[in-house]
Amino acid sequence: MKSREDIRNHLRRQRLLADGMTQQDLADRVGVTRQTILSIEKGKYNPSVGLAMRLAQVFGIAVEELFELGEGGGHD
Amino acid sequence: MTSSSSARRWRASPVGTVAGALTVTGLLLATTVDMRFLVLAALGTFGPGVLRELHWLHDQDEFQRQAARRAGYHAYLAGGIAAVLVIAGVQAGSVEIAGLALAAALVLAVMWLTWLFSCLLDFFGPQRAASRTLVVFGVFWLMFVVLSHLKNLGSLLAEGLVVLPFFVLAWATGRWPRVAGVALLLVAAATIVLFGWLHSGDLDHEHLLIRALTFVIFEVPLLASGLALLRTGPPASPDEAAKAC
Repeated sequence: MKSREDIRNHLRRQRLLADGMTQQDLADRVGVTRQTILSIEKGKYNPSVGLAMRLAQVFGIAVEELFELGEGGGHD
Repeated sequence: MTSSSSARRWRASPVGTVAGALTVTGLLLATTVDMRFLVLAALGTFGPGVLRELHWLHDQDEFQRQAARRAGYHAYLAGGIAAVLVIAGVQAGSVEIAGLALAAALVLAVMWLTWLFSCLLDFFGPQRAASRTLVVFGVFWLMFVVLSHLKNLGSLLAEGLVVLPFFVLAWATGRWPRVAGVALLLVAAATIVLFGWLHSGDLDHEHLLIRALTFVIFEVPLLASGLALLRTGPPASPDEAAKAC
C-alpha cells in the first residue's frame, strides 16, 4: 500500500533514540499492530492524523518533527 | 528492527483463526458431502467483515481496515468483471441448472482469490506474498502427489520432483524478485498450454465451467504473484532478501 504522497517520516530514528524502543512496544502504546508501525517506517503507509498525533505524543515532539513533506517521499 | 521485534512473527488473530477454520471446513464439506455446507464457508469468509461494518467487532487497526477496504474494492472489480463474462458466456448458449451453480462458484472464486491476494500483497509485500503462495502451492501439490502415488515409490519420486520448482522459486523471490516474477509468468503460461486450458473442445457447459474454475484457482495466484514481483525492485540488503522469504 505504497503512498504516492511525498511524505517523509522519522519514526524509526525517534523510536531508536527512545532507548531502542521496539516496534511492538510502540504499537502497543498507540493502539495499532506492529505491522502498521513497520509499514509506516518503510514509507508504505501514511497514518491518519489521529495516529500521527499519538505517535508524536509518545516521543514528546511535534507532529511536524515526525512527519514532513519532502521530495520523493520515503523514510529514514 | 531490533532483534526482539524481529523475533515476533505474524500470528493469526482469534477471529481470523475461527473464520479460516469455518471457511476451510465449509469448502471441504461442500465438495465432499453436500453443497449446502457452502453456507459455513460463507460465514467464515464474509462474517467478520459484516460484523466489523456493523461495529460489533473491533479487531482491526486503521492499516488493516484500509487494507481490507482496498482488497474489497479489488474483489468487487474482479468479481464484477468475472460475473459479466460468465453471464454473457452462459447466455450465449443454454445452460443446465447445475451449470449456473458452477458459474456462480467461478465468480466467487475470482472474487475471493482477488481479495486474498490483495490482502497478502498489502500485508506482506510482493516478495513475501509470492514466496508464501508458492510454498502453499508446493505443499498442496506434494500432498496430492503423495496421496496419489503412495504405493509406487518410483512414481512418487518422479512426480515429487515436479514440486521442487515451486520451492526453488519461493526461495528466489527474496533474492531475484524480477527473475522469479518472469519465471512465474512462464510457469503460468506453460501450465496453460500443458493442461490445455484454452481448448474447450467437446466439453459440455458443466465441464467447461469446472475447467474455468480450476484455471482460476491455479493460474490467478501464479499470474498475480509474477506480475507483483515484476514491479519489485531488488532487495536493499542480504538481510532484507532473507526476510522477504
